[in-house]
Amino acid sequence: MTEQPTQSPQNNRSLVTTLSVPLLLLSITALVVTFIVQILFYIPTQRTIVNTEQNLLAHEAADVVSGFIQAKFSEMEAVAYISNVVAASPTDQKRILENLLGLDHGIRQIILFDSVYRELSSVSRLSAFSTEDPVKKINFDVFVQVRQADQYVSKVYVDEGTGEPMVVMAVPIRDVFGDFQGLLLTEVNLKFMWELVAGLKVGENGFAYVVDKRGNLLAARDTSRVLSHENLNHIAIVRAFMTSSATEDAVSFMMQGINETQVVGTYLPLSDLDWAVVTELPWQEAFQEGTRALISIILVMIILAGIIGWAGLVLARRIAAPIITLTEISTRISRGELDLHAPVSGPKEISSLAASFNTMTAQLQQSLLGLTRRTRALETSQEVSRRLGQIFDERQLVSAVVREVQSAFNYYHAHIYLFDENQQNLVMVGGTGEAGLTMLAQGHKIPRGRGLVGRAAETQKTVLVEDVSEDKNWLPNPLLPETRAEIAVPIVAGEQVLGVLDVQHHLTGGLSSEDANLLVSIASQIAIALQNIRSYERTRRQAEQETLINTINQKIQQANTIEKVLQIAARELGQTIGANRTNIQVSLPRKVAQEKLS
Amino acid sequence: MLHMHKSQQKFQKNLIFLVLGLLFSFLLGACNVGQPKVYRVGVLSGLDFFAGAVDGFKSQMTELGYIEGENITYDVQNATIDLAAYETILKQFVADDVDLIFVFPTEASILAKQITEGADIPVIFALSFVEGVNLVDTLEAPGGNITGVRFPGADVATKRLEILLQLAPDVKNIWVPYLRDYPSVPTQIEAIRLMVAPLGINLIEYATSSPAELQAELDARAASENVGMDAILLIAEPVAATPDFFGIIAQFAYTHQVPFGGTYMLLNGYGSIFGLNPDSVSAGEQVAYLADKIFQGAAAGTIPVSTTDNSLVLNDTVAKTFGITIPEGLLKQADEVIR
Repeated sequence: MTEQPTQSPQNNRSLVTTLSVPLLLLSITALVVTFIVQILFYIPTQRTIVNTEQNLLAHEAADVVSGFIQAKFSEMEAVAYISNVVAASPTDQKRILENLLGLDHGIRQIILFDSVYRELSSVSRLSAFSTEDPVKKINFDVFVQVRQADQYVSKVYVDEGTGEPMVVMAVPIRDVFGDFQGLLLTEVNLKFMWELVAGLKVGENGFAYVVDKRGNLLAARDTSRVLSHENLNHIAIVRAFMTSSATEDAVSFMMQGINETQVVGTYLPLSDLDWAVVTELPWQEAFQEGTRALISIILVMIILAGIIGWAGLVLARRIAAPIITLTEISTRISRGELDLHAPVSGPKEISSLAASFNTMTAQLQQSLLGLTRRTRALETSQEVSRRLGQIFDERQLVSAVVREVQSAFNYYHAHIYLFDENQQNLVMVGGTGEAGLTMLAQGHKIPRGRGLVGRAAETQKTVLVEDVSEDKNWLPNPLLPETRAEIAVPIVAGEQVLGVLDVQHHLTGGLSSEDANLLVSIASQIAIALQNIRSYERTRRQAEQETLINTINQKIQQANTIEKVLQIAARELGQTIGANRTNIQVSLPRKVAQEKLS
Repeated sequence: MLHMHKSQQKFQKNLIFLVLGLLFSFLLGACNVGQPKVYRVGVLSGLDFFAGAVDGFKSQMTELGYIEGENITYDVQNATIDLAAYETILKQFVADDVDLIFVFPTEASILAKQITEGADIPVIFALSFVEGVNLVDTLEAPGGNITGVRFPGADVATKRLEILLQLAPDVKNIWVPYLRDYPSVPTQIEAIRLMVAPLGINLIEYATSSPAELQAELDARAASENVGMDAILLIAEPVAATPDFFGIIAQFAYTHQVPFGGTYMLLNGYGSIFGLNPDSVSAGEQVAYLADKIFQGAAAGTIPVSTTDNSLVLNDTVAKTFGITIPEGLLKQADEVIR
């Protein structure tokens, strides 16, 4: 068999890789797209959540700060409306104001004015000697504004002695008819608001502070910054408040906070005050839940990608496994392992492919086997021919042929029958193995027409029985108990059947028409060989006879008498045929005989 | 198939390297986690009267996360109105290269500023006057390496006088003892001088250096027919806050029924009628915030000086001993009334 040159595959990627990589890429693409879509929906949602949370925090902080201011107003209004302080005596006025001063540490001074803004009484936490009139620190329009409004809060100013932010608050005092009777004015130290603001809880690491409309820091956890009179107009959210209308609700955005870190800042203007509460929460904390959720999503995505990738790999392997097995088997078959079979499993197409492959392999194997057998047969036939040409003895020829045939094709048994002189019985003249010798010794013979051998001789046709148990004409031979299949091929020379070549196999179906064809070919050669031997034998005998005759003739010709002639003839003939005594009777004509006798 | 195996091997190899890398980084990180810094704070408690400031400071520091023995240690040194002792202690703090000096009252704070000059050790003072003592440049920007919690200033002296006059409106001769050359005295004396002048009140200023000198002065007054005073005003300086001095004054006041107040102290059954003092504990707590800010990296000289709040304490029992009824308005303003 000539070997075809193998072509190297152009693509070195394995089938598993070829299948799994697109699967993986597809799944990752799907996951990434899903992730992006989630993110696109998630970010605005998260921002809304954070804004809402910050809004709530800002409102809580604003409530605290407003509560601080409103508490002052409540105390002042209690004095203004309940105690009828304007109408009270100076002593009572002083006592009432002192009570109020004692009530609230945040109030540093209290001044009571009548309806024409004359000071009626005042008390101070500071020494009167060193106390400045707070009215001088604010616009005098306080009187105008208090007349028109129920509450008044001045702009924040800084106390020169302490550097602390102060504010003047005032409420009008009206009689039962609502007529303006005077006003109660207090100077409030905003540092008492610091502790409240410092105590505001804005998340874990956030904080709140209060600024006025000018951006001045009024209260913060870090009081030093307030005492530094820091102006925060460089902070985006403060600037936003400074330029906004006071009616706006809380506003949040990402920005750089007062500690120069990225924060989510929110401001909420305080009603009736030109202040705002600002909350700052580190963005990491603000988006903590979102970040966790995001990380969870990413983790789930990664796990899913892993699972899909793994599943894709497994699937690819599963799909590719039969093909890989087929490839391996085909490679091995190409190396000569023709008895291999591909497992017929997997998907329908793959199992069909495997089945077809097996069929193809079987056919190939069969073809190769047939080819091998034919080659072997040819070789055997040649060997038989070669031997037949060298053997001139019939028995030797038969023995050599059956041995060669049996060993070449690993038959169970082979033997040859030849007709006896009467052409009635087929006498076994050569067989393989012990059985052959035994049968030869026993002079085994089969009558013409009987059994498979007899039938082949009778019909001059090859008799093939793949399963001898199915053939009623088959004659079992106790010396050959394992015979399951048998071929009897007539050895025919011209029109004459010389004998039968009989081959037996120990497997049912072990013999086929191919064997029959082979054996027919060999039988034909045997027939020729037999004819040759017989012809040779006849020629040889004839030659011998003619030589003998010539020899006798020459001796006779040397005799000079009849008697000598007769004696020579009798002696030579006797020697030729091995007779002990040879007599020649000569009948002479009467005349001759009488002459002789005479 | 072979290609596949190689890929798998490569992936596994990369994975192993990744895991090992992470493990290595983790271990390296774990090894590099340094010990937390332990701050060493030198505390000079220069006046027992304000000792609560140390408690307030340490307590608030704990609240701020500075745990004594873990990340902060305190070297608390006590000395009372002893300049030499102040100097020794402060120099030792500088020699020890402490991370921070917390000091009070005024005289000790001034000394701390001088001794630490150039030493790069931040100083936080408490309960100290800043007016006229060159302790800080301004309240907003104290400058140098110092900041602190100031005493409310001269106003406290005039306010004490106002309260004294509310309690004893008829007094005409007010004796004001103080420690000679104490830095916080001049501004207070100046303020009350200006205040009493239009009121027709005679201000009798007395500077003393020691309890013995004070005792001699009061003994002399006791020996005379008229002690020469209707009331005693204790201003914010050490004589009013030191038991050795206070005991002599209180005994004299009780003996001669001279109402006295300004700094509240109760010593051996003798007590002043009122006191308008800063809250020492609160001042100490405020110092803690400043210390935290300095530990966070702020320069002391850039941190504004804050002001303590005064706390009014009234002793109604003592007042009655002197035949004084405390006005209701004053009682209402009091932070503490002792009955």
